[in-house]
Amino acid sequence: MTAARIWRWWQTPILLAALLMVTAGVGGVGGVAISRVATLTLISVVFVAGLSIFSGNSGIMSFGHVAFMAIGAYTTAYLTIPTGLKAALFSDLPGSLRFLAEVQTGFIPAVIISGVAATVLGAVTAPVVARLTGLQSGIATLALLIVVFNVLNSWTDVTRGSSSMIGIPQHTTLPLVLAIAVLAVVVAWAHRTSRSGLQLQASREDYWAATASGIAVGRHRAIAWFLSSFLCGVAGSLYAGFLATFNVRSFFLTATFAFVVMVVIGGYLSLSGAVIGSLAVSVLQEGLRRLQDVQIAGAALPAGVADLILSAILLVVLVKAPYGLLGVRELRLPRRAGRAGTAAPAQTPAPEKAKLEV
Amino acid sequence: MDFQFVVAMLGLGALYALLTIGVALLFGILGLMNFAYGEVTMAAGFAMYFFRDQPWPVAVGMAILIAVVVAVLSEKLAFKPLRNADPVTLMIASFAVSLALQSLARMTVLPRTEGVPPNEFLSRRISLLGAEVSMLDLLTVALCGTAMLALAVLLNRTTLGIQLRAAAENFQMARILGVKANLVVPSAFVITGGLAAIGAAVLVWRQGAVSAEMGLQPMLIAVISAVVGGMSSLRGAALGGFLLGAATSILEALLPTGLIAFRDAFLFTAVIAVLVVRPSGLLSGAKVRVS
Amino acid sequence: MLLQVDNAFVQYGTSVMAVQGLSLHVGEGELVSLIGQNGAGKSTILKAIMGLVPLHSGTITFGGERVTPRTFSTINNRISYVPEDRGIFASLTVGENLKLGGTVRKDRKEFSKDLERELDRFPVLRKYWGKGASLLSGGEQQQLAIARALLLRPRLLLLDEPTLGLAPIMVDLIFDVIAQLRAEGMTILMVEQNAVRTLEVADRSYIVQAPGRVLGSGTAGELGSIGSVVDYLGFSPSEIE
Repeated sequence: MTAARIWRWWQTPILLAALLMVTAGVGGVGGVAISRVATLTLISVVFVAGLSIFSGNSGIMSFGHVAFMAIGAYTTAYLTIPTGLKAALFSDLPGSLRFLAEVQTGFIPAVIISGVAATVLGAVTAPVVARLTGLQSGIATLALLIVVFNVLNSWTDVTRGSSSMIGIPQHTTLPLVLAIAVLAVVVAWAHRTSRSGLQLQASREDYWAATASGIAVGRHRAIAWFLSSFLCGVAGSLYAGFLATFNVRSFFLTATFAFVVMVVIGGYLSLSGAVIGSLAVSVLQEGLRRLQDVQIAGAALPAGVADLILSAILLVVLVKAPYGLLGVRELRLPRRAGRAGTAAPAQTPAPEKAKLEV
Repeated sequence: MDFQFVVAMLGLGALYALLTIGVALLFGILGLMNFAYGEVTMAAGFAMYFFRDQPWPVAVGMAILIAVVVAVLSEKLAFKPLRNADPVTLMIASFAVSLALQSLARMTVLPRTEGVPPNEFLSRRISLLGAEVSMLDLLTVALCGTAMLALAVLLNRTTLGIQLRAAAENFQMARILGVKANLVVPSAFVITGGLAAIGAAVLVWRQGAVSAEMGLQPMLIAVISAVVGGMSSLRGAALGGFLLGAATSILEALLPTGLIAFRDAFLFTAVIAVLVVRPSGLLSGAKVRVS
Repeated sequence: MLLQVDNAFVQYGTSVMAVQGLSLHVGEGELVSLIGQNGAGKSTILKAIMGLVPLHSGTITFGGERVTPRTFSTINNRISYVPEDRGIFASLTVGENLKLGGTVRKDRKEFSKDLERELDRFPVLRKYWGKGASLLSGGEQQQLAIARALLLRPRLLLLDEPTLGLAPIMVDLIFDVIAQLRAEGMTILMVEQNAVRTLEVADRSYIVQAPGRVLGSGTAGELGSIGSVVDYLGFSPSEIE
């Protein structure tokens, strides 16, 4: 490979990584509050990179990926909460699961095992995703989310049900989450530019043409689903390891909606769009949260203003740019080195009709 | 199975069928899978709360009025600019509308869950065919059944109904023939508003409370049953809704106590299984058909 | 001139220019046909008149009014269109399909009379009035589509490939109906691939070649004297009359 070709492949992930480093840098020099926002933002980048592997390439919107995040978070809780506390928290574990109270791993192994645990669910559900298209697929992923939520919420002996999970050691640091977010972006990019990723994108543009050309659309969908479940599980693990406590309600429709907003505003068909969207929406959400806390004439703005503004912005974006800010474009440097250093989306025209499915 | 159980099952089935038809109608005409449907239900639920001291027909009437207003306003403000958008964009937009309406409700009229005291008349039980049947179950069957019958008459016997069905099958051809988008689209929203309100009334009676989040459950039920039913016809939607309602009742009756909490997990696993076996739904057709 | 198309360009997507500089005109009471192979851009020009595809450049005027998708109403100007797929509502009955033809008509009595006349013209539609339109054969669906289009009382009737894929007996029937409509004074612009039958019935024809260019136009006799048209068709149109 020539240097030019290597650069052509690497420039998008490098530019995105630079953006993530800026985010982490801001978090590093800012106060506790800023650092917290930066960390959560980077965790959502890991998630969104995972979601983008499936939705961005297949064009099928998934409402179920938060389930993988939940699996990751619960796995990490089990693997890292000190055994003493665990014995107290889960005194009613059924016999066959008693061993869970004894296991204990370091954080990094826990993160990896959490990703693997999520892929177990990913592997079980992959055949479903491979078979379904369009609206049906969207609804099946939604049903998956409901099933996982219902089990986590009701299996009180094992998951503490609707009570919060507590006592998870805080191991998620800004440098660690930055490193994992960069890795996630590279993995997502590698998949996107791989043979399987490209064939999946072909099926997104024209399902029947792709099928007729001998592309096993179902298999490529399943591969993407499997891979994305791992990253989303990792995101859940980082989330648990950062907040030290979480509730099953964090992994339901509100979170799903938040991630959908991120990828849609940025442009979910492109990896850059998804990543930039998650950065932009995180900043926006924080700004709105601060706005909501500002006292106006002695009275705080009512709760819900932030959500209202966020949904209004989403609607405007949908009307003005249905494929998000970036459409199908990826982050690249301008061809001519005129204004080198300023990252600008390449001027690839949007496809005349990017065929979208739910 | 005793008669009492059959009536309860029919009631839940009819309620779910009614809710599902509302979603399927909009999908047929606009390609809109409306997640904001839940908030239309919530608006109607609020009306039921606000007029809780009035006789129930008055409260239901006001619920219908308010739900229709909310449904039509959501069309005017959010969905009209997106009329030519693809189904995914529309669905995500409806997600936004749903969140916006929920936030609005929380900021203004429903900051917390409000109880709606059970109506004395509804909690009565009457003897029917040798079984004690609750008035609520009977009224559920009657109200939902009547609403669906009225909709069937509207769709099959009136000019507007023919236009709605034509628009649902092929909007472009309908417009070529002079069917006005600005008539059929708002009409469809009015109808869904009415259906949502009747569904909401029954839900409020059953749950005895209203909240800003109360629309979530009926919306999920409607959206999922519509897809399970096939999206191919309102009959498919009604069937999907009815089966989901009936399955819920049966699971509640059959599941051992320890597993009742996992009812939704069983139900939605079954939904996924149905989709895998019949990806285009139970009553699938080549075209999107209404009626 | 009722309909005038001048130097029309129509683009599909971003790259394909399906019609490149087509001009045609249709006078009041005329039966004009567009003849050409698949992909010649004939149907596209009908769609452009209906505002279903935007014009890239050029103009279309109808009754002196400029046709643009934004302001021009084909309904108010009573232009009826029978698309190639016939646009039958399969989930509606035959009768309901016909009633939709009168969607914008206010004159209920006159409409009933028109409906009776079309049911006399197409007896099969009366026979299947209450049946689902999906049960009709292709030829019967075409009759339904034409009858429905006529119920608008059109000033201009656009027919896109009315005999495509029909059994020979149905082809005869449809051409008979078209000849009948012409005799009644209906203004028709039709697209056809069946050159022989079309040249027989049409007042004037345009021979269209991909991408949407007119090779020659005129009556069958006039077309016969254009060498390139004779070459394209493989026979001389003047032999037909």
